[in-house]
Amino acid sequence: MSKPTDLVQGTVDLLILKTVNLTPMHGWAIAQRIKQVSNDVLILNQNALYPALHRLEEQGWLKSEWGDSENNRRAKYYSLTKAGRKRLEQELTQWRRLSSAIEIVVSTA
Amino acid sequence: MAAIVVRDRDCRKHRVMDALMRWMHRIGRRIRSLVRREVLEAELSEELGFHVDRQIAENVARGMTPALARNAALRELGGIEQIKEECRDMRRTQWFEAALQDVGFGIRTFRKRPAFTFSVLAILAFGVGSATTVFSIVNGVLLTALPYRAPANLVRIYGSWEHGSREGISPPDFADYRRRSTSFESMAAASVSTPLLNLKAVGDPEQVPSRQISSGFFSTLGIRPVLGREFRAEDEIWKGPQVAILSHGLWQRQYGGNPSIIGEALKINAVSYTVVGVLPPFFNFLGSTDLFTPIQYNPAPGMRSARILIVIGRLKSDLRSAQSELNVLGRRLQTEQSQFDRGWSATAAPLTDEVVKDVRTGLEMLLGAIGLVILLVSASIASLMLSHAASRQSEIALRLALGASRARLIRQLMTESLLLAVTGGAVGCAVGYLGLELIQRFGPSNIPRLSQAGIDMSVLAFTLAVSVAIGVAFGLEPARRAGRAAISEELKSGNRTATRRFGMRDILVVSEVMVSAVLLIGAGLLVRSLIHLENVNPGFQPGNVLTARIALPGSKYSDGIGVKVTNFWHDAIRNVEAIPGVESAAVTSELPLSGLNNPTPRMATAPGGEPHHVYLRSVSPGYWNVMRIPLRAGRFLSTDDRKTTQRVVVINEQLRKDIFGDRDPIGQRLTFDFQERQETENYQAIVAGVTGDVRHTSLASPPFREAYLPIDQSTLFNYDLVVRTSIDPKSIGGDLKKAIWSLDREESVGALRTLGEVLDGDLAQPKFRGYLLGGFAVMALILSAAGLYGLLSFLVSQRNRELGVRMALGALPADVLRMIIGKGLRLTAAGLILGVLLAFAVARLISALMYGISSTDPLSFLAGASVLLLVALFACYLPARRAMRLDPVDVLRSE
Repeated sequence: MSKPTDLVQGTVDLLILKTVNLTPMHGWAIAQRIKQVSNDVLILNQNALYPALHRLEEQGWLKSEWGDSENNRRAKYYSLTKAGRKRLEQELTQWRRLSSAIEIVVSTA
Repeated sequence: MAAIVVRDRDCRKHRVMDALMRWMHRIGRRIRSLVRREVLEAELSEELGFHVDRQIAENVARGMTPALARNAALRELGGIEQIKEECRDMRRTQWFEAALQDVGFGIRTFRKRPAFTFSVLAILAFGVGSATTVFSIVNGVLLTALPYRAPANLVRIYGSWEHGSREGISPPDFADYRRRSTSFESMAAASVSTPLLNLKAVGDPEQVPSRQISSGFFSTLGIRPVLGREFRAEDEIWKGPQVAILSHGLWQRQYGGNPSIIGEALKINAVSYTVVGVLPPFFNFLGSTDLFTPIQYNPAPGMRSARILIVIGRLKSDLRSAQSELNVLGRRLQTEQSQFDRGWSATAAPLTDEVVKDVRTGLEMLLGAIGLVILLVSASIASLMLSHAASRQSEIALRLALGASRARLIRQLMTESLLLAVTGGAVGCAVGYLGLELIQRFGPSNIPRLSQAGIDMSVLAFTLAVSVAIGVAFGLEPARRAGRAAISEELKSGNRTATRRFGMRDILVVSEVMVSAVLLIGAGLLVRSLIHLENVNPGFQPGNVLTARIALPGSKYSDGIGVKVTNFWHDAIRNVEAIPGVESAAVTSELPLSGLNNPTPRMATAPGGEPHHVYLRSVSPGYWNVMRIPLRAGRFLSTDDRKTTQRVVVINEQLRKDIFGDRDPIGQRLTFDFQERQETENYQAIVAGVTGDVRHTSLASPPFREAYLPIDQSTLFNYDLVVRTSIDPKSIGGDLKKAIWSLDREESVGALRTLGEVLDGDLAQPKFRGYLLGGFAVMALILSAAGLYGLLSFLVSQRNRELGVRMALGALPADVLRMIIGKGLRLTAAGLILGVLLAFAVARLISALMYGISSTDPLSFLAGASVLLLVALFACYLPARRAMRLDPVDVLRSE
C-alpha cells in the first residue's frame, strides 16, 4: 500500500482545515479544491483524505452535517469548530515559521 | 523522529478551556459511536458512495463513457474497504468494537478446533491451578508476615549451650534477662510445653491445650484481648492468683460468646480459676492453644537449670545490638550463676524463621517445582500456539489480501491468546482453590499456619499475571510471524514450500524434556527417601496398638504421697487388660512420634562422667511388652519396682553408648538433675536394664538418649495409654472408654489413634512432598511426550512430499524411521543432559529433605532418565511409523 502523497500528516491537516475554513464542504469538494488551488500539484488521495477527515472530526476540530449537494444528493459537509479555528491559526503560524526557516536555510546554504 | 525541533511560541491562554471542551466533545462522540454503530457505518458508506458518484459524474463530464468513468473512479479511490477500515480506525472506539469482534471471532475459531482449545485450557488450568495452590500455601506459611504487630521486630531468644544445642530459657534466667536488658521494648515468655488440661466451665467438660505465659506476653506480640486484660507482673508470683485467659474459640464454645464473663470462675483440673481475659479470634503462637495461665515458678535456685521457657522479645532497634547486649548479659549470668549457667548463653533469631523453620526447605522446593511447572506449561502452550498458527497461515494470508491491516491481524491474534489465557487462568483459579481445600483437608496437619492459608488478592494477582504473561508471550510469536507473512507467497505456494522454522519448536521441546527430567529425578529422590523412611525401624512394632491420652486433674488425685494417682493408673491398666481382645496394656508419659510431647531434656551424670542431656520417660512395667521394644541387657522394669524399693532406671542403647561407653551399665548409679521438682537432693537411680533405641522425635532423626523410670517412683498425672490387641484395635475403642469411666466417670479420654496412624502422621509431610512432586513429574512426562509427538507429527506432515520423493528414489522405510526417531532422540538427549545437570544442582539444594540416600543417588538419576527416554522413544515412534508407512505414489500423486 503506497502512500498517496509524501505530504506529512500535519500538512494534510493544515490543508483540510484551511480549505473548510471558507465554507462547509464535502470530501470530494475538499479534494477538488486543494487540487485546483495548487494548480494540480497537491493531489490529496481519497485514502488519505477520508481517514484524515474522520480523525479531525474525532479530535473535535471539524464538525459535520448532512446536507443537499449541488446535484441534490445527500452529502456530508465538514466545517470548522471553534477549537478548529484556533487550531488552524496555530498550524498556520507553525507552518509559516517552519517554511520561512527552511527557506532561509535553503537559500543561504 | 524529532530530528528537528521547532520551538513552539504559542500563547497558552485558552489551552485549558479548549482541551476541556474538546474532551467533552469526544466523550459525546464516543458514546454516539458506541450506541449508533449501524448508523455510523451507513453514513460512512454513503459518504464514500457520494464521492465515487461525484467522481463518475466528473469523469463523464470530461467525456468518458459511463462504464469507463466508473472504473476510473473506483481505481482512483483504491480499496473502499481499506478506506473504511482506516476511517473506523480514526474513531477511537474502534478498539472496543474490534475487541468485541475479535473475541467473537476467536470463540468461533476455538469452536472449530476443540482439540486445540481443550488442550490449551487443560494445560493452563493445570499449570495455573497448581501454581495458585502452591503459591497460596507458600504465601500463607512463609511470605505472609506473622499475624502480630510489626512482626519484623519480634525475635525468639534461645538458651544456647556451648556444645551446640538450642533450648529454652529457665524462668530465673528469663527474669534476669528481662530486668537487665535495655535493647528490647519488652520481653515475655511462654512455656515450651502445651499440656492438655481438663476444663470445666459452663459447657461440656473438655481437654484443652494450654500454655503458661508471662506478663506482657500479648502486648509484646501486639495482640490486645477483646475482653478483659492480659497477665500483670503480680500474676507471676509463686502460688499467686489463679487466673486464666481464654482463646476466642473456647470462649465461644463454653460461654457462647457471653461478653460478661470477666471475673467468672471455671475449673481447670478441678482447681478454680478466674477468667481475666479473652483473646481475639485466630490467635496462634507456635500452634493454637485454648487456655493461658500465668507462669508462677518456684523461686528455688535449682529452677535455673530448667530451660522450659520460650522467650520472645520486641527489638528496640536492630538484632545485632540486641544480640551483643544478650552476650554481655549471658556472660554475667555465667559468672553469677556458675553452678547452673556455665556454658549457657542467649541467642536471638527472628520469630518468623522460628515459626516456619521445619517446613521452609520443603515449601521452597515446592515453589521451585512450580517454577519448573510454569516453564513447562509455557513451553507446551507455546508449541501448541505455534502449530495452531502454522495451520492458520493461509487463512491469515487471505485476510491480509482482503485488506486487513497487519496491526489489526496482530491484534486479532493477541486477543485470541489473551482470551485463552484469561479463560485458562479463571479455570486455573478454580482448580487452585479446590487444590488448596484438598490439601488443607487431607494434607499434613503439622505445617504451621497452613490452616490460615487462603487464596488472597496477591495470589490471585500472581495467577492472573502468570496466565496473561503466558498468553501475551506466546500470542506474540505467531502474531509477529503473521505480520511478516508475505501475502502472495503464502497464497501461491499452497503449502508446498512450507516454512521450516523449526528452531523455536526445537527449543521448546528441549526445555520440556529438561523440566521433565528435573521433576522426574527430584520425585525419584523424594520417593526413594520416603521408601527409606517407611522402612526405618522405629524401634517398636506398631501393628495392632491403640493409644489414647488421659490427663488427670491434679487437685482431685493429689494426696501428697502420690498413692491415689498411682492406684488410678494401675487400675486403669488392669481394667483395660480385662477387655476381650486386649493382649496387654501400659502407660507412657510420652508416646513416640506423637509429635506434641517431648519434655525438656534433663541432665544425667554417671559416676566420674560428664553430664549429658537425656529424655526421661515414666512408664508402667508392661510398656516394652506392648510396644515390643527389645531388651539388650539386664531386665525391664517390673511390678516389684515400688515407691518404697530401690530407685531404678532402664536406659536405651544410645544412652549406654554415650554415658557408659564400654563399661557395663547394669548396677551403675545415674544422677539426674531434677531440682525444679523441689527434691531436696539429686535424684539417683540404679540402672536395671538396657533396651533398644526408639525413634521418638521423628523417623528421620536418629534416636536420642532416653531413660525410663518406673511409674510408681515418678508418677505423673498425664499419660498415653498404649493397648496391644489381638483383634482390630479400633474395635475396642468403646470398651476402652468404658474401662476408664468405670474408674472415674468425669475423666475425658483423648483422641483414639492406632500406633500405625501415629506413624503415618510422622510420614505425612514427606509423603505429601513426594506425591505432589510425583504428580508434577507424571504431568511433565505427559506434556513433554505430547510436545515431542506433536513436533514430530508436524514435521512428518510438512515433509510428506520430501519423504515420498526419498522413498520413491529408494530410501527404505527403516531409513525414514531412523531419520524421524533420530531427530526426536537428538532433542530428547539435549533436554535430558540439561535436565540431569540441573537436577544435580537442585538435588543439592533440597538435600535436607532426603533420607537414607545421597543427593546424587545414582538409582534416582538413572531411573528418571530411563523412564524419560522410554516415553520419548514411544512418542517418537508413533509419527515415525506413520512416515514409514507413507505410500510414495499416493504422496506424489496428491501434489
